[in-house]
Amino acid sequence: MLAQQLLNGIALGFTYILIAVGLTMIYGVLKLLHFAHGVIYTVGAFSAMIGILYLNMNFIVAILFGMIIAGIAGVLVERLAYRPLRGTHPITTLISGVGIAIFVESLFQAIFTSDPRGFPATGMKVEPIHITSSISLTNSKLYIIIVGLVCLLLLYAFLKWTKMGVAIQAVSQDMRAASLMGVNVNQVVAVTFFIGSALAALAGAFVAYDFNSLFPTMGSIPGLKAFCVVVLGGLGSIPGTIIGGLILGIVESLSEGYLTGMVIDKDAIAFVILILILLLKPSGLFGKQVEKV
Amino acid sequence: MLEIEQLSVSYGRIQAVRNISLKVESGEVVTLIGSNGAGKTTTVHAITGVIPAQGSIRYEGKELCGLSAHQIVREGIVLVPEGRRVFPRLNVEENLYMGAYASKMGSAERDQEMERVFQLFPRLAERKTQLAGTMSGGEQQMLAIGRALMAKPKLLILDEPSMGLAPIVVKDIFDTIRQIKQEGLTMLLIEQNAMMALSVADRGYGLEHGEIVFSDHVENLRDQDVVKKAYLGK
Repeated sequence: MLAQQLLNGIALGFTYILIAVGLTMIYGVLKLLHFAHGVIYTVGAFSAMIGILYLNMNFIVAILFGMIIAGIAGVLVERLAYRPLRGTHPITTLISGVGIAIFVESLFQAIFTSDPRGFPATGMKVEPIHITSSISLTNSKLYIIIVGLVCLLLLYAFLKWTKMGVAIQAVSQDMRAASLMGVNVNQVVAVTFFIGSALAALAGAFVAYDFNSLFPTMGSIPGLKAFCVVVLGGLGSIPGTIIGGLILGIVESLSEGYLTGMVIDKDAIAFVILILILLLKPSGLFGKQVEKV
Repeated sequence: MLEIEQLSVSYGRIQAVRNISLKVESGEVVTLIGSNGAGKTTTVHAITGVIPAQGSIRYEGKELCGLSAHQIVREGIVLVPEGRRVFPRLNVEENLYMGAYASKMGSAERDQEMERVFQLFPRLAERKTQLAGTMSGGEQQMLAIGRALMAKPKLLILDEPSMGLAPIVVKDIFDTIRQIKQEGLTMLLIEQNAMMALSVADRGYGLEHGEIVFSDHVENLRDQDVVKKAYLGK
């Protein structure tokens, strides 16, 4: 039972990590809380669905398609909602992000209605894999773990060994010094938004496939939980986000297994953690000194 | 090489720099000295495109006013910023690597350039994998200069390289600046420490309350009463 819940928790954790890593990178370069990240996750899931239904894509191509569309959507959000407000009070950009999120959700409701729909059939059935007689994992969750690990390794290699990757780190550490080295900050910001959005889309498409369900507001709770993960791990810290995502996934999964009939919903745990971390260690597990917003 | 005419910079309603004109010829080291708040860093920020300015900044015949910071680096003007501003969580090699960001060097040429920096600053060679944020102020200043040199600048601007450093370290840094000068690099040196600045420069400008108050060859400046009194403490 414990091993089973841990395994489910790790799979869930990787979903949160894929969403949250973009948030933390974006916070890193712009010191911006990107509240429209949840809808990007939705855009990814719906784009993958459209790819399968209308463009005859197979599952993998459709996921990649969803990542690209969501990546472009993320870049556009930055261009239209955040860049014109750069240099203003952080609250202004935050509200702008919330506005974009509401706009996109409403747009999706107008186009697709607010009813949940199933993820289109692709020949990729969700079925359990039995590891031992008592422990099993659905193949979709296994894919999330594998794909998540591969993405994190690729991201690490990109940030460590490519020119653009090092530039992203440099901009996160000192934007002005980076621009004095000839780094086009706007370009770096766009690349960061693209990568973060594509990873969120990956999570969105896999969750839609795993639960066989898509709806326009599907991104709002995962988006908020990703915030909790980022705050738990420490704003701007990628290792912190990974640990934070795993902690949240495992805690949620364990509570589901052991604390049935809880007073609060499982979804509330993330926010309980958020409140505790803000009270006890506001800089997060791996964060630097908190900056006053 | 660099010709600044009638340059003004305002922060809101406060004019920090008023109609200054300044020239740097190819191969010379020019210093801009002045006390805290005189407008030195503002002038540098205007030249490097960090803040917008009115007037004209011509560099090898090309107008720079209106270009952004990352474009100006590509013209060959590179700044060693005040307070060093190395990337604290990148190591020494990665910081130097960032310095070469704008140049179109191949990796072989870049490694060669890095070797040159390590020859100039053997201390950095010993600390290739150390995070810049964990190094001493003097080492960070060496790294900041090394990082700027990685861009193969045609004009190197140093903003207060002596700031916050122990006198013995300042002497080291200025010895290196002298060495770079001998290699023929054109430099604009911004300093509060006029004694040190005048010891390496060919010509000097004095900035006070946002205006140029004197300019001359350093030999003449060292003898002028106004300079002695205000900056050299004699």
